[in-house]
Amino acid sequence: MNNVWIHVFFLALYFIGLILIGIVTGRKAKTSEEYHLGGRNIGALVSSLSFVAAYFSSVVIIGGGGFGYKYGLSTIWIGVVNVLMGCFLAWLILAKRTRRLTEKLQAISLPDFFQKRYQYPFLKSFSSIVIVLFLIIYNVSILKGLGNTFEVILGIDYTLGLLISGFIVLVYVMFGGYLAVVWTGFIQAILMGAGLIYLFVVAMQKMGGLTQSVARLQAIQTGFVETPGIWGYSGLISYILIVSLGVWGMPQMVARFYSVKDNTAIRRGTLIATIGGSLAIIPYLLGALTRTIYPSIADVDLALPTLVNGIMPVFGISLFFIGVIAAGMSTFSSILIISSTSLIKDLWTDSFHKKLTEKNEIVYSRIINVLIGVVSIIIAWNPPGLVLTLTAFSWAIIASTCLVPYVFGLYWSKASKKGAFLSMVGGFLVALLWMILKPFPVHGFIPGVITSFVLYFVGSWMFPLKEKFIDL
Amino acid sequence: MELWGMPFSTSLAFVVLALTIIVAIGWTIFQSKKDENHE
Repeated sequence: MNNVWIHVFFLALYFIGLILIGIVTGRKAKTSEEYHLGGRNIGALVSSLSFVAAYFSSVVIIGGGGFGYKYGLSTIWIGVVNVLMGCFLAWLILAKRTRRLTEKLQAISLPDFFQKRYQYPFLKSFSSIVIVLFLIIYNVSILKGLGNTFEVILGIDYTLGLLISGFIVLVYVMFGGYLAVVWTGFIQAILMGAGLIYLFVVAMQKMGGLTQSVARLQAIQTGFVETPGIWGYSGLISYILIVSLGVWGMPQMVARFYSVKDNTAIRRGTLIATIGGSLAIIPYLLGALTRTIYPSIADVDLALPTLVNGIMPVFGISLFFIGVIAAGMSTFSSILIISSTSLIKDLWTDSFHKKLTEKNEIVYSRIINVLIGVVSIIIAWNPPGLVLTLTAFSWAIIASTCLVPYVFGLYWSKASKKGAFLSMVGGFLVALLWMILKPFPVHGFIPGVITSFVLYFVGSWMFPLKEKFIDL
Repeated sequence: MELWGMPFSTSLAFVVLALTIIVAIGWTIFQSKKDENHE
């Protein structure tokens, strides 16, 4: 019982800190652009670490640990390709162009970029609806990770854990907006990193080193240490692509590129995000090795929390616990702010042409944040699947809709609005139908993005631009 | 090549990770020099 109170004490300190950040940053957000993008003046360290925090949420820590436990060491490849494609190449290829173009077009969100880049309002309305609907599913997976962590570490009911974490995020996002999201994300990335490194060190001590624990895992089943091992290439490659390439089309990640200060910050941010992102392999590695100590955990999402509870000293448990909560909260808050931007700025004021004053825009954005948060919490009450499975579903749909028109829209000036339209709608429909009908054992992300890619170029070739209107 | 007793197919992941970090460091240094010369 005493240990629980130590965790509660540290958690309370952390929560108070978050709410204070929300209140302080909230005072700075006077205009809508400041509320939604922090005034495009955010430095390298805060931008890149908040990118890492939004990327590697509780989904990676809890879900990655669960996948590691279920499929073995081959899942380390997910973490490694996350670093290569999702962090390094994403910053290298997308950041500079996105920063320059979104400023030139005065775009403050991905749907806003689509409309201004292709001069076609439908793209904005369609992508906003897809983003809001499917980010709610992603929110559910994050909240499930948070609820599971509370359940195992504090021994409280899953629902209560869900309510506490959901409530705190709603408070600081509502007050602080985007600035609160990136600043809390920055602090959360540091806590998450510290928690993971500490867990790795303690786990290696308790397990007798990496070589010995790998040998024990191999003795249980060879497939747990080989690649692709018991998972098979189809499943492994699909997941790697969704959570590594998929990030290129995820609005809450791309937003970091609009708001970063300048080219120097982008250059430094690329390196910081790559090094910071490297910690993402730890949950997969330790999730797999947890099997050598706890061979039969029924709900694999509980693998890492169970390991932590079993081997860490009390302060270590507190640190890891806060790290996971931080990881989930940073992503949840990023999604809330992106969803409210899409609904208020992209749909309400721009697509439906409803005029709002700057002040009212901020007020309505706050209300929408709360509504989306509450809907996510209600669905997460009785979640429909594993954390990483839910994430892959929502990422597949959003990436199949947004990735190709966004990435090629940055580089190819001959892309036409009809090409972008066909790509967006075709990618969305194929990904969704594929995941419902499941015609072949390949995740819907792959056919979705391939369809989107083909239709983008075929559409731009069949219905070419009449005149070039943008200099990339 | 085996790292920590893992087969080649899994050990290779650590090599790819190390190379990614090395390339990122190299790229950042190269870009800084390039920008300095440009200024």
